[in-house]
Amino acid sequence: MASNPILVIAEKEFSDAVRSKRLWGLTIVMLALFGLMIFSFTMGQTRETAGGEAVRIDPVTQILLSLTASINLVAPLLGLSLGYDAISGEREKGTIRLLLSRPIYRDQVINGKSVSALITMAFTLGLSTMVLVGLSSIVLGAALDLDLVVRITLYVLLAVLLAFVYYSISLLISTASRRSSRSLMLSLLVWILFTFVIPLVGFLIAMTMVGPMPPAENEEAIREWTKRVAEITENINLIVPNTHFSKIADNLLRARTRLGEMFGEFETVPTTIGEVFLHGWVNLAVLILYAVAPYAASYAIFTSSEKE
Amino acid sequence: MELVIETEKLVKVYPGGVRALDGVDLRVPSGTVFGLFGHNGAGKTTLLSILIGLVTPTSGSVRVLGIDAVKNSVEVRRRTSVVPEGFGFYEDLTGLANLVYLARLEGMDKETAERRAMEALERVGLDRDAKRKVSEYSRGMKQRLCLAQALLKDADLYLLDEPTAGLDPEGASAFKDLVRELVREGRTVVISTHLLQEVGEVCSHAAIIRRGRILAQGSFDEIAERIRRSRGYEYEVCVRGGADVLASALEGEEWVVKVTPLGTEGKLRVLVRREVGEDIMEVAKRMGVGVLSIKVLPSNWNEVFEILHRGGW
Repeated sequence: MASNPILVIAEKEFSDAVRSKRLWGLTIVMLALFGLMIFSFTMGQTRETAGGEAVRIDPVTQILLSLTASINLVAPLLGLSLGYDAISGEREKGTIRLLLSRPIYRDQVINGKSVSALITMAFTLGLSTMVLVGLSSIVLGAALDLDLVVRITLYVLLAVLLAFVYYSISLLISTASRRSSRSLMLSLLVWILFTFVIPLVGFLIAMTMVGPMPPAENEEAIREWTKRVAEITENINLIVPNTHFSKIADNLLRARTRLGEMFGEFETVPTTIGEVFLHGWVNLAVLILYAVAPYAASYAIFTSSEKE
Repeated sequence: MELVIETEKLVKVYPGGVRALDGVDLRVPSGTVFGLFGHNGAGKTTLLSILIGLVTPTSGSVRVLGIDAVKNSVEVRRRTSVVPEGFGFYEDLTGLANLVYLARLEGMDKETAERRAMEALERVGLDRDAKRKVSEYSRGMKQRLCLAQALLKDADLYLLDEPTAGLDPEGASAFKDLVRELVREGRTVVISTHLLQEVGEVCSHAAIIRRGRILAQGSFDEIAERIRRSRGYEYEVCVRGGADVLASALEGEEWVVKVTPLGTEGKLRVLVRREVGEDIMEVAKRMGVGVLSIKVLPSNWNEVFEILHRGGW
């Protein structure tokens, strides 16, 4: 049977990815971060108990908080690591010339690589989550019901979408670049900008706009001040894809943790899965747009490129 | 004669204003080894890239194997094998794995791809290194691997860009045998190079390209004859002693324009008004000078290239 070029490219890229140190490195980071979180919860709980006032965090909340923390860090980096040298690497090695002299279209090269990236991201995040949640629920004695499994599965799918957003961004940079080192640097810059700089700048702008914090004795004014700062910061953070991911993905898990109680004061937390998506469809749409726009731009640049 | 490549008034101006091709009319006859000769930057690689549809011409038309290469480049690439310049392989994969991957991109199933890859490796003498990683290959081996990837399918047309770069003399000789074999099988081979000494002898036809323009094209005999007609016949005579005696005698002949001694090796270059090979032999015999060899210039592609680049057209 004749081979489909997209599948041939995807198969080769996936095989390269699972053999790469990069992927295993990120998986280890995710496992380590998750383990560290669980460990710190356990230690924190022990200390509180020794102090006299025990604040129990239930095992499911421990697992879900650890999962979100590790996936929030690893998913964007996973996307970047798969995308930054997708095209620039082929240019650097000179393999692009052999690829493009085959009877294939340029867009099939990008599509093949992206299919492989999607599978790799789903495989890595899905398998890691399965192992982490499975093991930790046995160790901590957490009961996993069907609703929770569905929520975690949907959460992982959204994490794959977030990873794909960063993949698309780094793919765009890679397509426009001739050097993988430069592409990696720019991709990491984008990640730093979205993860640290914009949230921090947003907070500083909000503080400047709202003005100084009211005196400590005026609790109502402090509450209002905090709410205003949070609102402005959140609005500025809407530029960042992670914000849209958090808004919808965290809500999926929040109903099953004590986080719902903590946030209940400021906003209504959707409880059912249907409500989560009804409430967050705009965030989902923005996240998809963030994935599609750079991808389309990569497409346009690569298919019109002549100097390889 | 059937043409496998036919371009008309082909112009390529890259963004920034670099005029890589300036009105190229290329005609490559079927079943020939066609040399595309020019210095680096002459426009050879751009021309080859246009032929397989990787670069779009600014104006003009291109037909390869009767197909419009601008509108249907994938079909052109389906029937063409290419050795691109500045190629690279996946270094962490074996030579065989690289070829299987490329063969599958040609549309072959896995089994056929593996068989064709092994056959191609055997053909270039790399079968014993098939399962070694490409990172362990020498430069010459990589060049042979690149030739092997061009042999994965039975193409009608082979476009080889600097195919002998990095090959040792043995490899270059094997390459020439391979090219002759392809032509015997009825294929057409286009070799783009500036290394004329290495591949010139296998080319029956050629185009000399300079600064995006074709200076001359056709079979060797056609081009050489045109050069001789336009600038006079030039002979290189190699004698066994008495070169100065022969030079003086020739200068006295009415059909001789100029005699130039070449170094101290007993060689003379004789520019004459008409074809006079026998006449030179007679003068030498009369003067008692033994002639070792006599040849009319240009006698090879290298000399054609030199003459045309000197502006002697």
